[in-house]
Amino acid sequence: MKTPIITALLAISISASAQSPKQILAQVNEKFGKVNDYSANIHLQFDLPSIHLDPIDGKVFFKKPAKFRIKTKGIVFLPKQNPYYSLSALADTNSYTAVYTGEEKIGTVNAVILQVLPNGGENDLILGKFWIDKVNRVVLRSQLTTKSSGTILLDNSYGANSMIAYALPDQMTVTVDMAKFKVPKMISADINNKSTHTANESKKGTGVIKLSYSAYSINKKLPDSVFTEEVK
Amino acid sequence: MESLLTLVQLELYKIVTKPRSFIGFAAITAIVLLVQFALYIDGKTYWEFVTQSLEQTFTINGTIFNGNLVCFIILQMLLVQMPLMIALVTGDLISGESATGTIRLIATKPVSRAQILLAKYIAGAIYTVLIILWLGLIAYGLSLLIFGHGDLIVLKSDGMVILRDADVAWRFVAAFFVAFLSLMVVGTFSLMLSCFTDNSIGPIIITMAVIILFTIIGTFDIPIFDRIKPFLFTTHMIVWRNIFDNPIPKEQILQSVIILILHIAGFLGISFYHFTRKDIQN
Amino acid sequence: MPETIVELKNLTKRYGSLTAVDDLHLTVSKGEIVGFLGPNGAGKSTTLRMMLTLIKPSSGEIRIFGKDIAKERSAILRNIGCIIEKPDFYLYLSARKNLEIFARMSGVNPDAKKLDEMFDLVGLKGRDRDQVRTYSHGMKQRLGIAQTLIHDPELIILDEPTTGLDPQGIIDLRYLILRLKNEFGKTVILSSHILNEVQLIADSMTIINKGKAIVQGKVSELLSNEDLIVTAEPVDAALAMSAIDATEWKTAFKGIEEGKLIFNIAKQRIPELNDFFAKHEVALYGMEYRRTLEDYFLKLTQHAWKAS
Repeated sequence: MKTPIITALLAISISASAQSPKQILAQVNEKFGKVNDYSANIHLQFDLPSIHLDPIDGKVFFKKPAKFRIKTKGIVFLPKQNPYYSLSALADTNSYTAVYTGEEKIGTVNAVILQVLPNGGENDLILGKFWIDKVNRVVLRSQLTTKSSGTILLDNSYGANSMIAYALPDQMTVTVDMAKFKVPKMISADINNKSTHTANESKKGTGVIKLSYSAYSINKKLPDSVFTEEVK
Repeated sequence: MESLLTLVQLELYKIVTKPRSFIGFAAITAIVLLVQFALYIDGKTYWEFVTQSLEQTFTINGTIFNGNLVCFIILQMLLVQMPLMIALVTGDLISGESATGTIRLIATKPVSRAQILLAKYIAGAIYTVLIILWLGLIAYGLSLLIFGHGDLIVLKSDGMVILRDADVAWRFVAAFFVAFLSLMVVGTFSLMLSCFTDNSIGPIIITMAVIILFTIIGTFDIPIFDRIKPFLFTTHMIVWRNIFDNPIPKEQILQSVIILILHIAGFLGISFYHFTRKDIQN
Repeated sequence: MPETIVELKNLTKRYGSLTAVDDLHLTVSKGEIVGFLGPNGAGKSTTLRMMLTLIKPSSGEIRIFGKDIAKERSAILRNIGCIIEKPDFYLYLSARKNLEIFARMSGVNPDAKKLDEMFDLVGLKGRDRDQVRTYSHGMKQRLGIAQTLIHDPELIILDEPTTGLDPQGIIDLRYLILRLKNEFGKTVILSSHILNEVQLIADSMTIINKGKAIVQGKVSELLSNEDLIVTAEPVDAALAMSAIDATEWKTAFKGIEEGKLIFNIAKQRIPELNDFFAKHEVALYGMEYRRTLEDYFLKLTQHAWKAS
């Protein structure tokens, strides 16, 4: 009884170790590569230290290779990095070196951890770390360190509203480094306001933006104007 | 009751036909239009300077610079001017009559001094409502017309609050109501002073001096001043800003509203006590 | 017995150590014109202000129309029209609007016709729609009179009403006051520091000084011709003095002031005195007479002026 099981396990591990990090990433890209464009409904929630921002609904648009836009009627604070930037960076397998650094359980999934180092110094990306669900070929988590925007952590989950066939999550949680963030002072700033209320508390120095996707509409040939026109 | 209504009508007529009553409206209109003009020309640049630090960490989507924000900026700027506009009229209600000598005539009419004072007070309150409505119209209505709708960013000393557009209008209404109470404190205070003097300049200057002094005390973070601050009406006059917090500190606002009402009652009580008893010598 | 309209009993007003009105008694009968006289600072205005509740008495009682002013103020004031000191109005409003305002405060709502009548009565027809700031002092005084009458009061209190009026205006006012009494049965209290102004129309008068009533009574009695102060200014005072010495004129002689001989005699004896000096070859620069009350009042006002 034990022997077939052990054999099977060995076969899996052999097959796992047989795939290189770049091969794993290519598989992920292949899935996502099927998406030329998409639009979806989005619900944004914010947990930012010193900033109280109510949730808001909007629409999200994406067009290959990395056009991304969120349209809302109100103000939203978004991470400076385009969340699909990392995936677009991985499309050219010659532009980076990928290293397998271990495994970690995320939820119920054993994720493979790959570190990506871009070749050449002209890239904005300094270091990328990806937790990948090898079975579904989707990115569960990515940690990107860029020259322009510091470090950002993206957690993806693939629930009922996701389009896992296209590696599109139904929830993306972005954790932003806010250590350098300061509340701007202006001439007409409040005087005497010793409010006892403080804005939502989160881990000191970090802010969290949660994007919940639904009603994906894929490959409908979105015009470029969608990414440039003013929101009315 | 009928005689009180008649008196209120007459007092309103006197206020409305007095040139100085329009100084407040004219000044507010000029200030608001000037600020709107300046912000229209250069507001975005000015605001971008403020949001620079924000944009180091985030990409900001949405119309930050909009009518709601402009209105909020204007209201902040009028903190000192508005009380002066009110005191110009209410500080003159009794002392103006003393200065011109008409107090002798009205105090010999078959209406009680209490009725005279109450009628003047009500007329002063109506004037305050009118000036607030006017302010609402041009600061809020006109700003929305020129700059459009949008979410409101409110900067606080310890952070910022962003209020959704749909959630802003009622807050402005509530803020105007609280502002009305605050201005009634100023109006009642200057009316009280007006009962003690025979010239109009005194009550107006003393009112402004007190407001400025109390505001300065409220600004300093000195322990001894911290003990005095809760008792100063200026501390509670700016509570309208808390309406733009999220969540709204209801208890704090209610407390301030009660304190403002108590101030009004106190000043009015002193006014009635003195005016109904004083000898009219001039 | 005529009805008593005003009764002041033991009326006193003190300001610290200063007693402005001192235990004053005064009665005014219905249909009378009462002169209320005194030099400046005598307490006239203070008394009137207490009657009109502008000032609270320190002690004493004020009854008007048989009612206590402290208890039935509104009812009493509804029937009083008054000017206290100079009449002041809202300068930025028209005379018409001013009159309307004060009328409505008095409990009446005059129509256009009534207002026109008032302006006609006081001689301001055609100027009623002008702003009061364009009015002369005399015109304001007239408007003040209109203001006292607009609500048809029973009692009229006028404090120095002729101040600022030209001679014709003074005469017009005098006739108006007489008309108010004779035609309309009004009672008038007329306060002044000019005796001549009052003696022509008043039925009775009260003179006060330093808050106290000094003289009270009917004008006809107080200002009789039986009791005059006659002043004779001789060329040679010593000669004149020796002439009257040991004669009956010595009794009437009251003294010398600034070289003038003062006598207190009835009017009909003046020619007699004149003859006496002529017979004794006492040449005179002149001779004049005043009623003792006029003399007294003149001295009183001169003294008050010097004191101020």
